[in-house]
Parts: sequence; structure tokens; C-alpha cells
Amino acid sequence: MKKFLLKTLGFAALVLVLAFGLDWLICRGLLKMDDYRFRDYSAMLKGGMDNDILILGNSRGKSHFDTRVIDSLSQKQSFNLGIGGYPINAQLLKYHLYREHNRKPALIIQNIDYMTIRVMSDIRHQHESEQFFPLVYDKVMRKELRESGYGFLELNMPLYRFFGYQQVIKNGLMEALHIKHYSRPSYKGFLPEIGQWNGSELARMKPENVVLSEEGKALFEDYLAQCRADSIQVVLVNSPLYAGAREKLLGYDDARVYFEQVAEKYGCLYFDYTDTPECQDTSNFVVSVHLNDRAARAFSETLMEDLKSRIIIE
Amino acid sequence: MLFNSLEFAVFLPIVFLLYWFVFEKNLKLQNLFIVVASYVFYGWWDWRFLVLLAFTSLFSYGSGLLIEKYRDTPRKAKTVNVLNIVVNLLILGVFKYYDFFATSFANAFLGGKTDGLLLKVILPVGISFYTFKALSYSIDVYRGKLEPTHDVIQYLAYVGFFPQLLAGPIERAMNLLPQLAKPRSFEYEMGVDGMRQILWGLFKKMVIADNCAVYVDRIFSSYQTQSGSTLLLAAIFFAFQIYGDFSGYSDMAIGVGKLFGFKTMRNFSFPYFSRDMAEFWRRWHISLTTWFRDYVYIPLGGSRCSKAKIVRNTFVIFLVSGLWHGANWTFIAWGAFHAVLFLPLILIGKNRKYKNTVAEGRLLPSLKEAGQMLLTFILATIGWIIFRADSIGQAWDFMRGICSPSLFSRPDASGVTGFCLAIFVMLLVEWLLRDREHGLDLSGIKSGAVRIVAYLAVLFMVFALGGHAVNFIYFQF
Repeated sequence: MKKFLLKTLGFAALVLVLAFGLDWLICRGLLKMDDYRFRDYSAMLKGGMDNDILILGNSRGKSHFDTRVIDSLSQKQSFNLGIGGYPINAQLLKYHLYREHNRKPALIIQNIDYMTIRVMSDIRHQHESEQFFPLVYDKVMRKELRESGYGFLELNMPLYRFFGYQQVIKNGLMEALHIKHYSRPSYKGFLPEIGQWNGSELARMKPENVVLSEEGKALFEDYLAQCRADSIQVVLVNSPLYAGAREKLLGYDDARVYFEQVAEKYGCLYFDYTDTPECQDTSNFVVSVHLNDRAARAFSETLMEDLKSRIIIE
Repeated sequence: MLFNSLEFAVFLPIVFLLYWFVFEKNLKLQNLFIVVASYVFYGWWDWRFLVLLAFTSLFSYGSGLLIEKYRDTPRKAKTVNVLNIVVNLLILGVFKYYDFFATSFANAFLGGKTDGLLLKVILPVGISFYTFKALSYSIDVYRGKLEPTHDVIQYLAYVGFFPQLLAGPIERAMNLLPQLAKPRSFEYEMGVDGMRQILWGLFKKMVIADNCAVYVDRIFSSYQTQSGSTLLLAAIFFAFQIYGDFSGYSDMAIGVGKLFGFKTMRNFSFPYFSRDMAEFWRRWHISLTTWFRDYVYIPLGGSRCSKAKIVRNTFVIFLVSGLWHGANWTFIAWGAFHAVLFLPLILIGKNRKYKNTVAEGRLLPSLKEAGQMLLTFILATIGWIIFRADSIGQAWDFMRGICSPSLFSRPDASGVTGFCLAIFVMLLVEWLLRDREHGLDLSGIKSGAVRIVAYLAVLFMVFALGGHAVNFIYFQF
């Protein structure tokens, strides 16, 4: 029995050591990939990013705010921290990582919409949740991940969080071992939606209540208060949404009232583009909630003009 | 509790250490501990069904004692034995088959109206397995093949033995009770082999079965729109899914048993290396096949009777075996399909032609053997289509879809590379070790370093290719 236990423990120790090494190697590979899911994080973790303007939001934030246009029209450096499929708590997780390692921005353009003011209490196994895997090595992020559903095992047991993510494991290893380089780049975080209008998504969309959860509101307002304390100007932007989709969002006007009130309370500017003529035209959209590349460029130009007119940007 | 769950990864070492270090000195306590651990293991799923498990165990235990008491009055002994069979089958029937037969009755005679007719009860996990264990015990006692145990703890440990509780193997009391009756000591070689077998079972379940399941479920749910080649690929993957799932579970169950000092029966013996269907059935789900052979087929006369009776007996055993798997006409049709395949072999007396290992003493099979194995696999796979389908109509449409001109088009093979490689590795390893008990029986390799590298390689595949956990198929039976 003694021999059995000793050999079993020895083997388990060997497996544990190798698992730690493999975990580190895969994470290193992922962060080396030129892939929008990981590129933002590797840049942020390296530190030294020097952006005047940050864009925060979900997939609409990621695909509507063209950093090429914003850089060019503002003559300043911008970066898009949009995170597809996630509400405010995950958006702030990414922002906190940015702030931990990089200089604070002067201006934040915060995309707000029907999905923003809620909290996703568990970010594991969600859309592209593999983007969080390498963050367990960052002290501050460990705390944030714990608050967002990561348990003891995800945070401390090597490789545990990778189970079932075969492609991610393969990509990370191939990249780390220099066997293959993966490239799905974004432009400074901006990820344009390429494609033609596809109405099937709208046809499937069911009427949905706009949720403004109390937890989400508290988190959102804490963040706005902190920005004000840090002298960071925040602009709340409700970016274009196809009119047909808006009709299916119940309680949409209550949300707009909330955004107006909160903007006033925390000294933010508030722009709402969901009533513009562009929102009536399907040729501007790929799906009802995502502008296409061309329309995103035009929208970003409009936004920059509006910001200039309010003397936010010279 | 699933073998491939985190709960079990915590449960097993705790039970193992307590079993060998705290309760080792006292056999009664050690057996009692098995009962407690087994009931915790089962109750983890739904504690309410522990009552059912305990009732089944105690009823058959009492039956055994009464049969012994009435040894000199055979009529009474027979009554007790029949009563035990009826009560156990009644419980099984209510929980597993009542709704199926009620629905079939309603469809046939009431225009499909089932109002107030269905019980809609949950199927208790593993009920078919532990019920069959309890039945075999009283029948063996009645037949005088087994002395009944007077130790109720021992008997509860036999029926509830946690490694086999949810999906077998359907262990015979003749094998397990004597092991429970004598003091056990830890054997190093058996312990190590148990660990290897658990690892191999994990590989088959998590890498082969769980990955195949994703593909198979996708194709079966949209079979009307898939090409013939894709349907064929899904059928082949299901053959590997069910093998990986069930034999993987059995390997883990047997391996866990070994850690606790029990040699339990083998349940799979590389069935896809069979040269005909008779050999396939000697290698697939051995504990169930032999159960039906001993308690249904032979009492009916087996193959030592007229040809008409042989036909009847063969159909009975396969139809009942099909029905055992679930309350659906597809399972009955699957049983009938295998009966039709098996019957010619038994009628011409060739059902026991291949009793040895294929290509014994050779690395590669002959062309004839390879052809025989391929044909057996194809026939088994046709059977699996019937088994997997939701209805006989779906099975028929699925097979018609395979036989369409699109069979020669390129199949939808997106995302299958990884687990195709794993299936290849499994087949290669099992072929090389086909005369051993399981695919990771590396006791013949002298170098410890080579063995460790092999274990690490399997572990790495479990990690890198492991699919999202899918429930064991056989839990539903």
C-alpha cells in the first residue's frame, strides 16, 4: 500500500508540474496570437499604452466605433476595448485591466444600449470566454475573475478552465511552439462587421424586455463616479440600432430616460443615435444590432463631428 | 455521481483511504462502509430513490433466506422465487415501461389519448442493473447454485456496490458475495492495474464518446437535410460513441473495483474485432448477454431443442434484450435485427466458431479476417442506427438517406479531425493489446519510464481532446 500511495502521489506531482507548465505555455501562446480575442489583453498586460480616448461597450461598441476614423479626425490616439456579448461588469473588468497597467485616458466613449446595464454573474462558458483564460496570472484580474464566476479550480488548478476548449488549446500550443501563427486582427480593438444585411436574425428575434438591473445600475454609476473623480470625461453613446429591432425592445424609452438622468447626474455627455434616418435603412446593417463596416465608418465620423461641436475634442 | 466528475475525484480518494486505513481491520465495518459509500454515491443523484434500492435489496435478501428455509418444500421455495421475480419486474415495469406500454395502448385503441393514463415518473438511474443483480441472486439460490448469505450488510454491499451501481457490469452474486465474505488485502499490482483501467475508461468516455456525441447529435437532429455520406459518418461515429461511452464506463467501474480489492467480471472484450455477430455478442456487454443466456435462454431450452424452438428462443432473448435497453419500439426492432443476424449462425451450428482472439500470435489479420471484421462492424453499425433513432420511421429514413446518391459526395467532416485521430489511436492500441483485459494494460512493458510516458500521453489526450461532458448513455437503461 505504501508503495502504491507513494507512486500515485509521485505521479500526481509530476502531472501537476507538467500541467502548470502546459497552462503557462498555452496562455503565452494565446497572448502571442494576432487575434482580436487576445490581442487587446496582451497589449494591455505589456503596459505602456498611451491612448487619449478609450471606447467601452459590447459587440456594438466593438464594431461601431472605428478607431481609424477616430484617430484621424481627433488627431489623438484611441483604443477600442469593446467586448462582444458581455454587459457592464465584464466591460469594466477589461477597463480595470487597462487602467492597472496603462496611463489613464482623457476621454471614454461608453457605448450603452439595451444590454449594458445588467450583470453577468458568471462569465465562464459564455461567448468567447476563452479570452479571460490568460488573465488568471494577473493579481488584480484574479480578484475580478473571482467576482465574475471563476471558482477555486479555475483560478488555481492548472488547465482546468481549458477543458472542452480543444481549438483554444491547439491554437495556444501551436503559437507558443512557433508551429503556426494565427491572425484575426482588429484595428486597435475595432472589429468591423463585414457582410450584407441578413434579415433572418431579426425574424427570429422575440420581443424582449430591456433590463436595467439594480446591480448593473450600481456598478455603472460607481464607474461613472470614479471617472469623474479621476477627471476622465465620459460620453455615453447609444449607437445606431435598426428600427425593426427597436420595436421589439420593450421598455426601451425607460432606458433612454435612465441614460439621460445618469448622464446629467455624473456630468457626462449623452448622444442617442437610435432615431437617426440611418436606423431605417437595412443597407447600413449586417444584423439588426450591428452596423456594417461602411456604416460604422460613417457613424464614427458623425460622432466625431458631434464631439467637436460640443468642444470635447479640438 | 459521474465517474468523470469532480465530485467523484474527491469522493474516490476519501473512500479509498477510509476503506483501507480506518475500516481494514474489521470486515463487517469495511462492508458496512461500502454500503454507506454506495448509498452516498447513489443518493448524490436523487436520495429519494435510495428507498427503492434498499427495498429491492432487502426483498431479494429475504427471498434468499426464505428459499433456503423452504428447501425441503420445493413448491414454497418456487413461490418465493417467483414472487421475488414478479415484485422486482413489477417495480422495473412501473418505473421503466408502464408509460411506454400505456402510450402504445392508447395509440392503438384510444386514438392516442393518454389523459390520466400515464404515471410520468422519473426513471431511477441504474434500476435495470441492480434489479438484474437482485434477480440473479434469488434464482441462483433457488437453483441451489449459491448458498444464501445471512449477512444483510454483505448483501446490501453486493447489490449497491457503487462502482457497478449505475451502469454495471451486472455482477453475479456467485462472484462478488464470496469476495465480500472474506478479508481483503490491498494488492499492489491489482491497484496499479485498476488505475490504468480507470485512465483508459476516462479516455474512451471523454475523448471518444463525448466528442462523437456532439457530431452524432447534430446530424441525427437534422438528418433530413444531410448528405448520405454525412449520415454514414454519423452512424460510424455513433458506433464508436456507444462503445467509448459504455465500455469506458465499464473500464472505470472495474478499475475502481480493483482499487478496493475486488475482481469483477469483464464487460467488453474488444467487440469491434469480432469476425461474426455471434462473436460480437460474446464480446459486447458480456454481463448482460450471459445474464440473459443463463436466466432466459437456457431455461427456454437454449439451442438443444427443435429448430422451431431455437428460432423462438433466439428471438425471445434478443427481443427481451432490446426491451431491457429502453421503452421504445426502436430497441425492440434493434433486438429483432440482431436476432435475424444471429439466427443463421446458430441454425448451421457456427455460432461458436470464433472463440479465440482474432489473428492470434500475429501482428496483422489476414485479408479474410479483416473482411469479416469489417462486415461485422457494418452490420453492428446498421443496428446502432436503429438503436439511436427516436423512432423506427426515423431509422428507416436515416438508412434511406445513406443509400442516396449523395453517399458519394464529400461528407460534413468539420471539427472531426481531432477525435478521428483519437479513434485511430484507440483502435490501434486495443488491437495491439487485444489479448489483454483493457487497452492500457501495460504490465508487459518493462521500462517504467515508457509506461509513465504512455500514461502522460493518454492524460494529455484526455485534456486536449476531451469534449464537453455528456451523460453516460447507459444511465438511462
